[in-house]
Amino acid sequence: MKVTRVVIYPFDTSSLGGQVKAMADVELEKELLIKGFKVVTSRKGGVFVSYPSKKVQGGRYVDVVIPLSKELKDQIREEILMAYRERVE
Amino acid sequence: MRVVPLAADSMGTRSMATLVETRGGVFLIDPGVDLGPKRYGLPPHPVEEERRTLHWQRIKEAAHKAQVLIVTHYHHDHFNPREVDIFRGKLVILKDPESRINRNQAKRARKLLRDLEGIPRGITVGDDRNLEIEGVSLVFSPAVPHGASGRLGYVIQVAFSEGGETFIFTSDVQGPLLPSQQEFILNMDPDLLYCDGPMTYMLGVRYSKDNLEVALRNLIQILESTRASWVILDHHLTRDLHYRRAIDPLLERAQALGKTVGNAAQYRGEAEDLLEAKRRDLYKGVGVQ
Repeated sequence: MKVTRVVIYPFDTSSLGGQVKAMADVELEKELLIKGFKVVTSRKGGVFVSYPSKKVQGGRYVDVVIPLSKELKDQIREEILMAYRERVE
Repeated sequence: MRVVPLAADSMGTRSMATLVETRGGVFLIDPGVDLGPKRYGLPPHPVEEERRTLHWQRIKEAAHKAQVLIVTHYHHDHFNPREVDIFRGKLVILKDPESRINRNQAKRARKLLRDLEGIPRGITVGDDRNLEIEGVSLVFSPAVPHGASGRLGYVIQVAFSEGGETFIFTSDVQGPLLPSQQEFILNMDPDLLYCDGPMTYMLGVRYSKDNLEVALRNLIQILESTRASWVILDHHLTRDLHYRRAIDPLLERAQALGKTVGNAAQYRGEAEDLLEAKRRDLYKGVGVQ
């Protein structure tokens, strides 16, 4: 399964003390669009990709999209970060 | 968290503009205000026009203060296409302009996005997403119908939580009428709810008696099953001078539970002024100061 498109929405919340830098949508095989990825700053100052999640009872967040192979997970991460850097940096 | 309704039908204009002040930031929901184009066959009265000017000024001042502006759908009482400069330098969260949207709102959304180019600091879509900012959590519902069906389009609801306290803004649900609209409220269990109430001024025309019954049942269930001690009911409801009669079972139940159901003006500590509903009297010179 291949990532065929990534759309980045710059949304830098750092001025509010937030860690979100951008939102992202990912299209797979031109067949499936997954919305709600986030590019988030890490404590070390880098960025990582956070998966679409839902808030559940107790205030916890659980991921609602989970890649089952390491290959797909890596590809989604790399494509989002590449698109983010092209768009924002 | 401090919730300030800025303009509302109970204050004399069509709007649900609301400022939410949290420790993590200031949020402005639905920065728009409009007037009913025709009521009793009459155009807006000058008193209503004046009120709209006052409310728009208030919204603009609030927008200046806010860091994040949210637009729950693309009706002109929820955003102002003529003054997009209020979005300058802000983070903007919009109803998804592409999915779960009717043709008319999609057209307005496309135009708004074109007009916003280069103005805000960031734009994203809210539908079914969540965001954590400095101890404040924002949870958006999936798009739900504007009222009983998607004929008038779809809206997103939003819940703000901070320090164990939750506020929900429903946008135009006209009730709530549907399980999808009510579920979000029940699941998020708000302390304070600002809900678009039943459209009783159109009862028997575009809002059936069955609709009203369902809305009342849903609202009573919300009162009984959530922490909400204050429910602000406004917008479509307060276009009817006699709305209290229509929602009497709800008011009785609230009283029995020791909870408050009131409109946005009352929540602000002001007297209600249902100008659109009083339009005929305004033209007769009654109540004009």
